[in-house]
Amino acid sequence: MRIAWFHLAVATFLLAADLAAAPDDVRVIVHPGNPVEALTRDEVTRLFLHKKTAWPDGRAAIAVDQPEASPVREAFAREVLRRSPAAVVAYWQQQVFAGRDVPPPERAGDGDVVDFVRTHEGAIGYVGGAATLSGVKVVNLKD
Amino acid sequence: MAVENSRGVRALAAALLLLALPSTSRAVEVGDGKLSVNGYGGWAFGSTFGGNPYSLGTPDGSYDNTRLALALGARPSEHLAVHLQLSMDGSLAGLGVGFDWGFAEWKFTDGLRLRAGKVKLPFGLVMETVNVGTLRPFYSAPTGIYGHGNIGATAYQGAGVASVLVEGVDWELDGDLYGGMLETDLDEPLPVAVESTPTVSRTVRSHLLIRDALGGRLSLTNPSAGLTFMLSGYGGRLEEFSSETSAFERFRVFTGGLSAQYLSDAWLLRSEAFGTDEFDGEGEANVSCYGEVARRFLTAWQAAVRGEYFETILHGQTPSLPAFFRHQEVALALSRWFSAGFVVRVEYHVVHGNRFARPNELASDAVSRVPGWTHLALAGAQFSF
Repeated sequence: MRIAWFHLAVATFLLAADLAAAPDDVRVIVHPGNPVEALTRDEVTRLFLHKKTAWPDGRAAIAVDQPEASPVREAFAREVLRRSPAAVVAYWQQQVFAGRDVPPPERAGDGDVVDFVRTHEGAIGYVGGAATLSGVKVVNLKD
Repeated sequence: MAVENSRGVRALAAALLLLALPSTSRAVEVGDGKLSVNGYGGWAFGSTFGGNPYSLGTPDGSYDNTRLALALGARPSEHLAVHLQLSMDGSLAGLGVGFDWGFAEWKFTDGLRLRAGKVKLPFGLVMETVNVGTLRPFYSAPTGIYGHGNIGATAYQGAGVASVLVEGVDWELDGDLYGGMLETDLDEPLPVAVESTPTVSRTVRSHLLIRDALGGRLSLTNPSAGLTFMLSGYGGRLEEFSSETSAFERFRVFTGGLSAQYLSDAWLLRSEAFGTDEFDGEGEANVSCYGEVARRFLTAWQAAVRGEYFETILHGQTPSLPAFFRHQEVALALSRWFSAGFVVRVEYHVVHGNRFARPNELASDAVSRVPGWTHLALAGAQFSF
């Protein structure tokens, strides 16, 4: 019985550690009907910080985020937005309480982000390198 | 022994399970952000030493500092947004409810928005979020600029535009321009500090209206470098209603100043300097500046230090008690951040001068006994979601 509990504890911790580990890479995804093939990091940043809210064809752009504690979100903040996660949180708190804007909606993880982007024509999201990309398109990131 | 070891292993397993679960806090949202509810608040205990009340502290110790605000945001369409914020101050005297701001915003383009209603004033680094404690390293914002010193008004009733003026790769110049009426409260220096004739002086809180106001703010930001620079100011016609004389006094007034901030994962550095001046006859000028430095360590802890100066200068009058027109302060804070939305703090403030640290009522023959130094110890918690 002791050994079973110990194995359960170790397995849980390893699973959590795996979930908490930084993903190999972050991929930006859009709806397959979106004609955009590539975006610069600056363009992605403007979409996720709501400084740009429409695609070139005029369709409303809907950014979707992941939870604050998500390692994928942390990697996205550092690698794509080029800001610390804390700076992004502080930016949205400032915007919200100044009455200027609200942050993008959140989805629980890669799978939920993919489902959201697949079902919203103007959506843009991000997922980890191991995510299953069924029904969405990966956008090339340019500097 | 076998039973104890078994319990210990189960406890370790449970602890590991708990460690594996992340925790977050988030606003309440409906319809993918079309309707959102945010809030903030806090409570603190403050005690002063030396005999003067100051800020949230009193000589006997004050528990009577509770505040909660709810902000509602609705986005019925791509171009229209409506915002509302109500605040509630709980005290032994009862519950006070205030209408902080409520306005509609029309977005013409991503870089141009029009606002109308009662709007948070775009002034300095923190006026728009002056009561949100989770956005700063101290419980309260600096007293001189953001308190009742007649420098920063909290909101305007009128119309304004917010615009992105110039944008580059990872930097941006934004502008706000507004017109209408500003409101603020001012704690006057005690009359006894100007004239020796009053037998009793009481703290007078004047409600100021600045009519026909025109103001704005320029903000230059470079987020990846963590830098923000601002130039803020407004001018108008000030009407000061004195509760002591029950009369209006009118002056032209101008307020302006500079702000700078550096923000990284570990460091926060802020500095601001503002001044305000009243024209047309006897009036006053107020100048204030502060600098604060905060450093994160051990992930969840933050240490901070702030230095502040404030002075009221009367036109055409020489105060008999200059200490009642000056405020100098050094403060230390230690904060434990449990998340970006919840923090517990302890602070210690040392104040020299009686512009804001003074008894609420004072007899003329007692002024010489008012301590020039005030110490404030404060402990509290603040949250936001």
